[in-house]
Formats: sequence, structure tokens, C-alpha cells
Amino acid sequence: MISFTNSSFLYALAGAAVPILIHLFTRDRVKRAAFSTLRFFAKGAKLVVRRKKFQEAFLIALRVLLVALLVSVFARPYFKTKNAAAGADVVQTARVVVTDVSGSMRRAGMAEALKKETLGAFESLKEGEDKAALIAFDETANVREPLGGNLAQIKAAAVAIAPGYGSTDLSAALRKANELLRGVAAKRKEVVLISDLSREGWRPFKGDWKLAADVQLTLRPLNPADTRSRPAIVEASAPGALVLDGQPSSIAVRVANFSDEPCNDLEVALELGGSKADSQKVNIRPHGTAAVRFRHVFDTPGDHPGAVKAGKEEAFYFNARTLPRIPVLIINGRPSANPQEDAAFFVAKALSPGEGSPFAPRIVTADKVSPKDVSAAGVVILADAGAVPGPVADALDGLLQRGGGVLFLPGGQVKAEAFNTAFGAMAPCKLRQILTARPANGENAESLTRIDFEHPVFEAFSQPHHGDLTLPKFAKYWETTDTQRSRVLARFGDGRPAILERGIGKGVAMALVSAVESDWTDFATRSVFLPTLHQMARYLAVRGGQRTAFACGESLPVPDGETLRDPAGKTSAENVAAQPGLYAAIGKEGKPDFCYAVNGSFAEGDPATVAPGEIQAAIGRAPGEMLGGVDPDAGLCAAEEDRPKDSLWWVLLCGLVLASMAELAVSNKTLRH
Amino acid sequence: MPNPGALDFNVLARIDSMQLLAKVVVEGFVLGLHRSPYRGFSVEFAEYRQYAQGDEVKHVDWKVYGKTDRYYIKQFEEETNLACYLIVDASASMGYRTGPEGMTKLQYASRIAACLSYFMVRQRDAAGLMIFDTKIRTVLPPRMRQTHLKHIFAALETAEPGGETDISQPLHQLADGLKRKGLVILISDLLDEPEQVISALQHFRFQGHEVIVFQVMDNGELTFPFNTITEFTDLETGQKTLVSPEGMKPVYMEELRRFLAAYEKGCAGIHADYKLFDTSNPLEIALSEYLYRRSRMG
Repeated sequence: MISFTNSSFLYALAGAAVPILIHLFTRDRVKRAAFSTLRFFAKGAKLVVRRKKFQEAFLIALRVLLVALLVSVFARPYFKTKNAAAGADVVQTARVVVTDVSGSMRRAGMAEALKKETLGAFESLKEGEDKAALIAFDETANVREPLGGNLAQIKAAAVAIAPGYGSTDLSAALRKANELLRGVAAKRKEVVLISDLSREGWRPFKGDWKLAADVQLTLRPLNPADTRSRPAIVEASAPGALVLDGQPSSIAVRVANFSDEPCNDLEVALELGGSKADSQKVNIRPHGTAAVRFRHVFDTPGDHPGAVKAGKEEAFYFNARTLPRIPVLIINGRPSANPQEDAAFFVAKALSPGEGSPFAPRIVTADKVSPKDVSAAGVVILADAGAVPGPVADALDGLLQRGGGVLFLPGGQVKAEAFNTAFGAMAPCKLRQILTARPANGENAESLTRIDFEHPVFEAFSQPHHGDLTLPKFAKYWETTDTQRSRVLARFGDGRPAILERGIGKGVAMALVSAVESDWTDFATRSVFLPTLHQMARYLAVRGGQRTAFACGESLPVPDGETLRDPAGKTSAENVAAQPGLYAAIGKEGKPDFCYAVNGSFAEGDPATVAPGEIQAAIGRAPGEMLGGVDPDAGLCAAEEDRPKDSLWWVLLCGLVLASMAELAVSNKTLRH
Repeated sequence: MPNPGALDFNVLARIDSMQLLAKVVVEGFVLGLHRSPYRGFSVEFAEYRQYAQGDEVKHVDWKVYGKTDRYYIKQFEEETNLACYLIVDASASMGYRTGPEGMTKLQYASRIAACLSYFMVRQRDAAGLMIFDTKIRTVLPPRMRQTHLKHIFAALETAEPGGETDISQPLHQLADGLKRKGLVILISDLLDEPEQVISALQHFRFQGHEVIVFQVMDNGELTFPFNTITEFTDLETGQKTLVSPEGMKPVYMEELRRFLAAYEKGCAGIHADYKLFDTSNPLEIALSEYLYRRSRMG
């Protein structure tokens, strides 16, 4: 059975009469004329006339066909699928109810209204005749009930609908609904959207798809019972993991006032461990924002869960996990009484310039180092140490596997073969030979170039006046090989790798292929040496994988054997953060081992809404509107709905092209004769 | 050389009087010539005149030159024994013209005949006229008198297109009736079978006549300017046929080309001069053809 996507175009079939009318009005009238003789007309005169009349008739028929094909192509006919054609499985109405359960729906009265509207959306449907589906969405669209005829079951699912804490993505939900209706044989296809139509929720829509032409969109906007806007936290930052360095950390939030009235004397409080640690009062002008920053010194190791609360309802949860001073083991390959010649002197001094240092360096000579020393360290620095005893090498590998870090600083004491044998499997590179810098700018030294400022170690130096890493000069350095599996973070002026890193296990091995000694480089005497070494050691000791901040809906990394306690103090069987707050992983002893800060979407605080007409105009398809090139999801719509039916359209299109060519040929031939 | 500027064909086409037309054409034509080399050279001496550029050297009197050391040309009383027979086709097809303006082929042929006869008499040649269609309708024997011209002009003015063309039969009859050798000028559209017409012309040649054939065709016949479906009626037979000119034109032009080529080739075969006239072209070309042939005859 043939149907049409744009049936209104069929009215244009009347245009098929146009070629006939044109012919009738402009056809040749037979003239009568006397002529001296008919001898030159031969016997073919009548044949020529007959042929001309036939050609004209053929041309008219061809043009009529051309118009009809053109109209048909625009009308876009298709074969209805077997099920649809049979009519037996065709339902009257297929309705997908799309319900907003994002955080913004938690406002006063919205949850009840949401449930009521959702249930109401199924009221007009009849059991046995209609089908329905239920989608609950925040930033993701979850099909609570797929398209089916069991309306009672669907309504039961609708009763369980409750707003969550997620952000909103309206277009993703509508797209999902469109997908559900694809290929469904129904006389009416409807999508009912029940939402507060948050403008932030409409922002992800890129305008790259539209609803199928036969899908009707109904919008049921919900408004909160209390239309007064309250201040909301729209942006926040807090330290996730800290090194116990005695320095104050910053906890900042940005509070927005979305109302038309100024918000005065709003108390923003910092709570730590359940008690108020600090507070500030801010005044925010209408539709303005205010930034609030607290500084706090986390001076004890362990988790420091806290929250910043703006008013009574808005809260930002965080957990500052403070790590103890990082134990750094420096394996000295060239101990010397002369500090200038000692390989570990400058490194140790830089890591611990005073009492407030986050690092606890310990120097051990290469011949005396033991696996126990390595196991006790978070970071190991091999200062001009070319070889270590076998068990120590294994211990280093174990350190890396656990997530620790190793920094190689090879110098003149290192033998390439020994180094490659001992550390080839864990070092970022192998060593080949010592190179002397080529003469440049009046000195025989190379600078660091092509520094990867996006790397956590060097990003602190990316801004102007934050330290110039090109100032240190390197007179000697090692030529490296086998760097394929490593990331080069900086190079010497001749292009050879200078600083490399390689991930091994959970840890990272890093190498600066030059000893920090005065006859090799002046790096140690430059001002950037200390921050660079600190950044390296901090990076090697503290890296990702130690998250303390999560979003609602995320799975929390609760260690095996431990249970999760939610903000209400209840033990949760699942490790999913269902609501904002501070979660804790409870160990076997019943004490919390880790704490997790979970927050909802800050975007949900913005009460601005998008107009229903804007959504209709953006994704609704006007009658007769073709599937455009900007519609990569045309497949979701009518075109892909029943792929076989498109074959008829293609046949007609090919027919149109052929008829056009035939018309061109025949009209050209007719004109010539 | 003819002087086209002196003979405006559009003006001539509006002159109904044959005599006036002939006078205008011929006088204009003669004025356009340099000094005529064909005029007044016969057997009766008339006078001397001084040699001028363009005179033939054979007419220089060398005896006088020997005596006076000057070139003189002998002029003679004009006298001729040449009889010219103008044969004009007045069949129904000769009444064709493409548009309402302009001349029919018969009018054009009559003007050619009038001009030629006027010129002949002025040249002291005897001009005769025969008009025919399916049969001979008018016969005026060759005469040199001026009064004879009036008869010729009157016959030409009153000539009307008649029945079907049957050229060969009247020509054979005429050939049989002409006793005196002369110049035969056939002016016709020749819409007959070329073989039969050439055969009839050969009859003239067999009897020692010089033959000139002027085939007169309307411009519409030569170019076939029709562009819509037309029902054509044969002027002679009344037969009708529906023709699509767009499709038929190439066929027509090819048939016409063969037809004209058959006459051209046939005339060349019997050593007769052949000239195709388009009724939209000037008349003086006919006079040139006549003079050329006349000069060859001496």
C-alpha cells in the first residue's frame, strides 16, 4: 500500500494539465497556401506530418509524466510496511510520555505536579487500542517503560516517578522518544513532554535533528508553586587531594540571585566535620552573582569532609583529603663531601628547604639502599645512580605498580649498559651515550625547548612571570633510545628528549636525562629548580584515581569489603550516589575509611525556562517539510522509519531524471524537424 | 558592366508599362556600359572615328594609320540578320509569388522578355515572341521594326497564367516551325520533366539555333520560408497536400537542388546557356547573358 510523506504536494498534480493547455494554446494552426508545384514534396510529406504529430503527442505525454513524477517525488511516496498495511497491528495512538526528573523539579510542589501530569498523560489512552511508553530523564533519558499496551503497568511506573538531582537535557529525552516511535504502526504518534522546560536543559540541543514528520509533540510545562527565586550555588571549587604542607587551601563558591529583588545579608557558611567553621554574609543584586571564598588550613592527615551552604537549601559538598608529608627516597649514586659534586645535595635541599615542606626526603647511597627503604617511600629519586641491587630494582618496580613514582637523574656515574639492564623495563628510556652540548650563542650549552605546558608538572609555568624553564643550561646530557612508549615532556635545543615520563602499573616513571650537578648543568642554581622538583615529586606521589568529588548518579569507588553509608546515615547496598551529600566508606571496624562528596547539577538552580514554541519550532517538522541536510538523524524520522519504502522514492527520482532526459531529446528532435 | 545602382529593382517592379520598363532598364544598362563594342559593326561602312581605349584592335583601319599615323576605327551601318525568339512560359505555376507584393514569375519573365526585345530591336536584331502553357498561345515572328515592339509589349502585358505546364510539346512545335536560324531564349520556371524539356531544347540545337534558358523561380520556391504546418495547393493541378515545413524543408531543398542541377547539366550537355533567376533579383542579368551570347555569335 502506497502512502505519502508530504501528501499536500499531490494537489500540484493539477499542474500536469499545464503542458496540455500550453500545447492547445500554442499549437500550429494549419495554414493554406497555393504553391507552384508539389513535385518536390515527394511522397513523404504525409509521413512527416504524421511523425510530427506523433512526436508532439509523445512530447506532451512525456511532459505530463514529468510533472506527475516531479509532484510524486516531492510528495515522497512510500510503501507501508507489511504490518501497517495489514492493519491488524495498527494501534490508534502510540504515545511516549517524557517526564523530567532533574534536580530543578524538586522545587516546591513540582514533584506532585509532575506525578499528576504524568498520570494524566495516560488517561485518554484505551487499553487494547493504544500503546504508551514512559521516559524519565535528567541529563540522561531512561526508558522506565518501553512502548507497550499494558497501560496499568505503565501507570504504576508513573506513580513511582520522583525528581532526582541530575541536570536536564531535554533534546536527548525527546530524541529517545522519537526513537521509540520509529517503526511503530500507529495512526497517531505522540510525544508528551512534562517538564519545567529549564533553559539550561535546552542548551545542549544543537539543532541537528528533528522529530519524525508523523510524530506530534505536546508540551506540558510545569511551574513551581513558589515562584519566588532563591539564591543558588552555580559554581564551586574545593581541593580534592592535598599534601600536608601547612598551606591554606581555598574553597570557593559562586552564588547567583535569579530573582528580580536584591538578596541581602545572605549567609554563606563553611562547615567542616558537621560544624560551622566560617561564614560570610553577601549581598547579591538582582540577576547577579557573588563569589565567596574561604581559606582553611587542613593540618591533619586524612579526609576532611565539609560543605559550603548558601541559605538553608543550597549546599556544596567537598572532601579535602590531606595526605601526610610525602616520603621521598633519594638514592645517591655519587656521594661526596663537596656539595657541588654530591649528586643528592641539591635535590634534598630543594625538596626540604624548611620545616613546612610537604616532602620528607631521605638520602641513601646506592650501595646501601634496601628494598625496605624503597617500600617506605612514596617517590624514589635516583640521583646519578646507575645500578642498584636486584631486590631494590624489584622494589622499585613494586612501588610503580602500587602507584608510586620514580625519578631518574642519570649523570656521569651511570653506565649506559648497567642502567639499561637494571632499569630498562621501568625507565622511560634507555641511555646510549653522554653528549656535550653544541656551541650556541657563545656558550656550549643547551636549553629546554618544546616544553609540554599542558602537563601537570609544567602547567604552573605556563603563565608569564611564573618561572622560565628555558633559563637552565645543560652542558652535558644523555642521548636516549627506546622512547617509543614514553611521553616526551621537554626537549633539548637539538631536539633530543630531555624530560620523559612513562606510566608503569599505577605509577609513573620520569627521567631528566642530566645529572643535577654543577659540571653538567646550572639547573640546581636556578630559581625554577625548586618548584620544578616539587611539581615533579608531587605529581609522582599524588595523581588521579584519588577522587573525592562525585556527581549524583555516579558509582562511588568503595573498596572491597567495605560498605557505603549515605548522607542520611543509612547503609546503601549499591555504591551509587543517589543524592547530594557526604558519603562514607565504612570499614570492617565500623569506622569510615574514605569520604566522598557528591553534588547535584549547579545548572538546575537557574529558574529560566525556554518557551514551548521555541522547542516546537526547533524540532517539530512543518507539514511538507523535507528531510534536510542538517538532519543527520533523518533515520530517526520518516526516512529511516521504514527503509524499504524509500525504494519507491528512488525509483520515481530515477524515472524523473530519465523522463527529463527523454523530454530533452524528443523536444530537441521535434524542434529540429 | 551592369550598374546595379542605376536599376533599382523595387522601382522597376512597380512599372506596369512594358515599354517604359524596357526603356528604363535598357537605357540604364547601356549607360552603365563602357563604350559598347558590340554596337554598329556590320558590313556597310559608315564613317571613321578616332580610336579610343576599349575599342577592339581588329577594327582599327591600318591603312589610315599608315597614312596619318593615327588610329581610326571604321564604323559601319548597323545591320543584322539575327533572329531572336523569346519563348515565355505562361503556365499556371508561373503565376506564383510568395507574398502579396513583388512580381509573379510570369511578370518577371515578361519584363525580361520586354527588356530583351527592346534591346534587340535597338541592336537592330529581329525579336520574336512566343507565349505558351500547355499549348502555344501567342506567336509573334521576329521583326526589327519599332512598331513590332509594341505588339510584343502588348502580348506580354496581357499574358495571364494559364493551364498546366507542358513545356516540351510546345517547344517541339516551335522548333518545327522556325525556319530561320537564330537565338532562342526560353523564359520559364521549367516545372516539367527535365529530360523532356532538354530533349525539346535539343531539337532547337539540332536545327542550328543558339539556345539560352532563363529559369525563373520565385524566392519562396528557392528558400522555402514556411515554418508552420501548411496545406499546399498545386497551382496547376489543384492537388492539395499537408506539409510540415520543419520536417519537409530538407527534403524539399534536396529535391529542388537535384531538379535545378538536372537542368544545368542538361543545358550544358546540349551547349545551351542556362541561367537561374530569382524573382527578387534585378533584370539586367538577363541582358548581360544576352549580350554575352550575342557577342559569341559575332
